[in-house]
Amino acid sequence: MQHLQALVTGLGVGAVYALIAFGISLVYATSRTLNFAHGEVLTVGVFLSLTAVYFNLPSWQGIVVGVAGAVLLGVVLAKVVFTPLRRAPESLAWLLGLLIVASVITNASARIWGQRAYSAEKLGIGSSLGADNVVRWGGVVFPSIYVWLFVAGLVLMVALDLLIRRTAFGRAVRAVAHSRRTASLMGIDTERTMVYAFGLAAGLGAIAGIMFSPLTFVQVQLGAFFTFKGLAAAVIGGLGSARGAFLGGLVLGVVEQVALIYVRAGYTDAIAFGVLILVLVVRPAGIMGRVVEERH
Amino acid sequence: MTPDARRRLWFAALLLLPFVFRDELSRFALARVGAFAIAATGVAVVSGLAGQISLGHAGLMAAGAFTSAGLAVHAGWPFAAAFVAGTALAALVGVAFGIPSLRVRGQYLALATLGGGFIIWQILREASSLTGGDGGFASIPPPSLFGRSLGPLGAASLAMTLAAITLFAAGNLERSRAGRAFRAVRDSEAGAAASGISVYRAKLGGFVASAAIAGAAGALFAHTEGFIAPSQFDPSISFLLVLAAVLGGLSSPYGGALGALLILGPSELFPSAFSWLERYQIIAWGPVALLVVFRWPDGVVGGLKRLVGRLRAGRGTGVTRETERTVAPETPVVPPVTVVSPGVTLLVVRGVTKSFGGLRALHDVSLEVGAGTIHALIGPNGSGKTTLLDCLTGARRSDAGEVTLQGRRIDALPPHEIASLGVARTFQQVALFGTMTATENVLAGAHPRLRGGLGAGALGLRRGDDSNAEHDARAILAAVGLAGLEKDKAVALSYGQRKRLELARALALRPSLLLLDEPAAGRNEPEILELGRFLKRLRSAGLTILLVEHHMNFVLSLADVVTVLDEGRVVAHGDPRTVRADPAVVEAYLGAGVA
Repeated sequence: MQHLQALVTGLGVGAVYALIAFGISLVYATSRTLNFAHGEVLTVGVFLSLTAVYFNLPSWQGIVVGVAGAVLLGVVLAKVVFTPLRRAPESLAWLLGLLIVASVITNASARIWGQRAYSAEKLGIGSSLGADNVVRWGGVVFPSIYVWLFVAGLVLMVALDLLIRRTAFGRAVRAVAHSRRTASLMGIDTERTMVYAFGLAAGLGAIAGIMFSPLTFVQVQLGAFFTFKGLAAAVIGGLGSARGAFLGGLVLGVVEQVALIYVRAGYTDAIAFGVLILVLVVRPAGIMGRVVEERH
Repeated sequence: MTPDARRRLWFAALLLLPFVFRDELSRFALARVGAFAIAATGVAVVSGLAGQISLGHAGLMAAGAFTSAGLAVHAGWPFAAAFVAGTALAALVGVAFGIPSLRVRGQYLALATLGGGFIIWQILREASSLTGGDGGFASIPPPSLFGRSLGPLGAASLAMTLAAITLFAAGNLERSRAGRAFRAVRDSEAGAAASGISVYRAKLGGFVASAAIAGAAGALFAHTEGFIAPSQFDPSISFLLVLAAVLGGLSSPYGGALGALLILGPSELFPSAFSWLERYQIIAWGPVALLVVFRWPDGVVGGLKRLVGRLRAGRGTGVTRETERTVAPETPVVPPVTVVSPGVTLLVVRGVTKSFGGLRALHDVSLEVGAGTIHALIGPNGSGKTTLLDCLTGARRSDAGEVTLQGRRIDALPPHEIASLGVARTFQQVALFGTMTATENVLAGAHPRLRGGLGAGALGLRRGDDSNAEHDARAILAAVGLAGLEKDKAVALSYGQRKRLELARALALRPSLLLLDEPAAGRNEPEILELGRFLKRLRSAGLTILLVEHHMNFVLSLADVVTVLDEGRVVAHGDPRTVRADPAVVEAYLGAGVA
């Protein structure tokens, strides 16, 4: 019973992780960098949505404002920070740059919205997803919001999978991921592909954050939370692979919820990192990543 | 004054700092800054010297702090014992921290160490029966020595003494055999392994040494503060430590401490003037650090060094170094090699097969190399020559077949062990230790022959053979034509000079078998002739050489035996003249227009 319940809640939370991980994986595919500021960017989007509905905009407009704001921030980040930093990939300077960006965003957000924890009730996501209703399956009872989160996440994942596999943008992303140089020789604008990837990742992240908002309080610390969970899920699934990110998110969500049956709630984040480290040691390429020994 | 003496003077000056600040609060603040300077030196050791990113050092500091505090508060341990226990436990945790570095590097390692620090932080918060939870430990006894607890002046002096000792040890370590191994692994793992350096031992050693330093810093912090809580060791403190190390300069073991002093010094030591800084530490210093790093890639220490150098040059007191940049006159000197009695078959390769995915790079390759001969391995591009060298040296594992060296199976050994058995190699694409000087590169090549581990390195114990080794290194450099370039960094050398340096590094191992991958590349005709004469002298001295080369005249004039590979198979074998006439060879290789 308990395990079935954990499975359903895990899949619901995991769908959100999956969308965030997709963004990190997409950015990695096009820029070869792990975006340590992804969660901070999308959290700004969530705050913007809340602010918009606070000023009595209807909630769909609030969501549009939040997503648009995140996209804008993502694009600015790509243009202003990533392009110069990419000249020194793998170096500590690069890593520090991103961590600094993340903490600048967090601190600026704290200036604007304070350290308070806001309820996202006014956005109306929770009530429309049935946060107050429960679903009964046999003897198992769970809030229906997790089922709807999973369904909504799945719909988006299918759409994203089609985007990556069937469209010109998707082909460009896959080409750049395979080899930036070759893609550029084939006439693909790798810089623009990267900027679009950042925008898409940030917008999707904001949607994921808004989906998640009924389950928690919205506060600035949420940024680091999303970054860590997204990075963990993306690496567990296999960086650079869309389906890997989806699988990684779902796996991480379920593992966390199942673990909660056995350990205290305070340890869930530690468990996410434990799984991440295990994957890095045992199979660094992740679940869906391919390990191929290269000749040179 | 020698650089060593000047360094000691600086460390002694640290001990005077507690007397400069007269009030108690400043002295406690000084102890705090000292603790963070020590912890940042830990980051400098693992990320600077050993080149392994760590974003979890606050966790290691916490391991030392909570262990020491717990033992003192709950078990009544005296300060010194609790301090040592905290340091030791942190070193142990450092082993766990280092394990992911054996599999991943760069961004992935950053993520793994971030996770490690995060897990420790959560355990501290949740395991409250042991750690006091979010409230932490209060009323930790102050540090005491010989039964007397130390006041503010004593605490600050203790912190400064420990900081001086740490810096002294880190500086010694950098120049020791163990430190050279760290730096070699940082610059080129393939080159390090081929020089007989165990890559995994160097990485774990770097993490353990660094963790011990961070743990000691944590233990010191716990006792001088008297109160610790998990929030003092959250992931942002790890970022702060990395920031300090990068700002100070990763190329120097002292960079971390200097960075910590720059970041924390103003707000801690002069709170009335700089209290506003405290709230903006990462934000204010982040962009500054980035600017410094982009302008001065080696941080403030590197920038200061250049500044001092320029000032001295301006005053005209600096010694201008005479460098002999031309090709050194041919010297009859031949570096010592390990001689195997001639006539013996030194290396036997039987049925070695290697595939990459669906591509079969080597197919059932067999050959024998007789002691004291020059054996050439030729074949068109992509015929598997370099792959075969990789399989012989353990850089790659073959799928099937066996390799024996003097009757001993070596195909299952890791590369550094094969190197330690006397198999040296050079690489097609030079795998030198770029940031190390020519002499240091050669000394690293002699790694298996020298002695001295981490502890000896930190204490600065120089054994007799170490100074002999330096003398030998200079002789080898002269023999390959690099006299006068001993102190130049490998990256600053020309392509041809780098090829020579790699040869020198390989010879430093005193090999019995030398594998050369295209040694003539990057040399002009006179230099190729000179190389040929040099290799012949090595052969006369008893060295066995397996040579991969494209330059046909060079090969034919030099080799005793030639093996021809084509598409991963041996297509011909014999003395140079026979091989040259072989129709299969003409078709596979020489037919391409070389003949």
